[in-house]
Amino acid sequence: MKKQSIHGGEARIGYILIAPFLIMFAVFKLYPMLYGIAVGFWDRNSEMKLMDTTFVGFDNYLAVLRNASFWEAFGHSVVYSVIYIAFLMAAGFIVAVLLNRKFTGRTAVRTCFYIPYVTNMIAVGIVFKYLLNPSRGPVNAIFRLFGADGPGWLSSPVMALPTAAVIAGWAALAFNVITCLAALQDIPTDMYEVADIEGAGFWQKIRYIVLPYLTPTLFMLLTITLINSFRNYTAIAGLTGGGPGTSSKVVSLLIYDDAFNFMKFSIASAEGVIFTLFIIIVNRLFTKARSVWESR
Amino acid sequence: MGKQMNVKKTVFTAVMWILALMMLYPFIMMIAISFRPSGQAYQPLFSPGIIHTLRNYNQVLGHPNFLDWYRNTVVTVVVTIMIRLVITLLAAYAFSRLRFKGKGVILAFLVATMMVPGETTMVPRYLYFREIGILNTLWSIVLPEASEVFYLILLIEFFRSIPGDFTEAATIDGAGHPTILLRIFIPLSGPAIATTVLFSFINIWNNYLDPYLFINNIETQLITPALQFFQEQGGANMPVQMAGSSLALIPVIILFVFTQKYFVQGVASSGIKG
Repeated sequence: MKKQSIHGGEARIGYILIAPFLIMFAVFKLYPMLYGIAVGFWDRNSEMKLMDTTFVGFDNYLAVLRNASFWEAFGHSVVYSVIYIAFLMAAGFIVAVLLNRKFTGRTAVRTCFYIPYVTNMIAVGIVFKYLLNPSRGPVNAIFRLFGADGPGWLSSPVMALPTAAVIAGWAALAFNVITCLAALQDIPTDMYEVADIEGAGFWQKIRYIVLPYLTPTLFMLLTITLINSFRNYTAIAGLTGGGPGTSSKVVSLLIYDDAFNFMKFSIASAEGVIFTLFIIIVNRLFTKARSVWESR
Repeated sequence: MGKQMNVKKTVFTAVMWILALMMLYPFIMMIAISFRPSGQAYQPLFSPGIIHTLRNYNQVLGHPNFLDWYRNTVVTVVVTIMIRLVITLLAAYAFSRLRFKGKGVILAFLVATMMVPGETTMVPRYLYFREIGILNTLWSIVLPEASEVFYLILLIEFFRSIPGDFTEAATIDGAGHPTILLRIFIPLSGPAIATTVLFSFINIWNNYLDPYLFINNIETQLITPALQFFQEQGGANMPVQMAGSSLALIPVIILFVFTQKYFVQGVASSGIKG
């Protein structure tokens, strides 16, 4: 029993080395995730019951599923994610193709495209609320130059959510651009030379060389962008605060409001759990779709 | 033919530079307006008669807690990065170089948890941190941030790219795993460690939701969520908000411009291998 094989020793050292990380992860990351499921089964729906552990079964979960504001916020989250993903995937690819061509000052131009990525959304929100101010901001001043009034942007019920999604996409652009650029640089140059000899134009090169080469990268980016699209609290809080009215109130804002303004901690926990399940299902479906596409 | 190509190239270069300026435009406006009196906040960038003043910066720097926010942020960033580096380097070495039961399952599970956003777990995190008594302290940011799976994957990928010959030679010389990690892996991992430090710095500096949730006293707050105090206090005073934002962004932008290489490497490697 006590034989200390090289293998046994290796495994023991392995467990010792991963222990600090795993313990920190279990205590401060994993446990709170699971705790949320439990809170959803308890009755902590007022300030006095902050520590209550009365079991109420599925009451909170059912209440959430029957709540119209939850489904409204759910719809807003989906719309936000779709616009955010579409914008980032398209803009990331196009900008990467442009930045891959040689021109004077390319390095500096690339830096300019990356800077928004390292800035925080609260500061970005302050600036964009200024730029997009419907009556006094410089963006609508351009519209007035052409005699139009310009949209209400962040203060219009219709435009607020898409505008916020695009601004958040703008701020996240560098990640998609850098990833696409790295993949573009991996395309062997002789592919382009052959294409030039055969007289292929720019669009044909994109269609027959670039896109096939980039498909795995784009799928991977789509996965990451999808996951990031649900991390939207700061962008929405910084840009619209969920308004005007509730027109841009996404699930993360609803959770915050229900918990910290209305003190319905169990309801808010249940909302988080249900939305997490939705995210997991979407990811599963996407992974399925991806494997079907790849084995085509 | 040649001339036409040249014109095309010049136009392309010009368009790219214009796009680059458009990307920077919000930050140019932010800095420009931070030097204006509030009455001139909405005048165009190059309009005549603009007065420049340092009053807004004086007001921001004169906030009784401004230096606290800066110091808190720096302390949080430094302490988190130190704990994160130690525990992540150890784990990454084990995951990339050692054989033990359950390795694949544990790693797959850790990666799967990456899809759960902090947004959906904010309530249980708040309640739990309250129960264990770390609410309103910087520990409520440091401890959960210490174990980030993203950096574990980043370092595992880097360690896997170190050729086996290095370790084999050391093993023959009788070196144990601690020696191999300290003497071979860590010295070779300069770029990966630099990327980890840079990313950590940027992410923790810009973190809004967690400090906003977990820290409720003004003197313990971090710089990014603290920007809201200028929105509340300054009311419609745009230039003061812009000055506060500039002071929050400038350290990160300067750091980024000088370390861009590691940033690009980090994104490219974390991206491609998924």
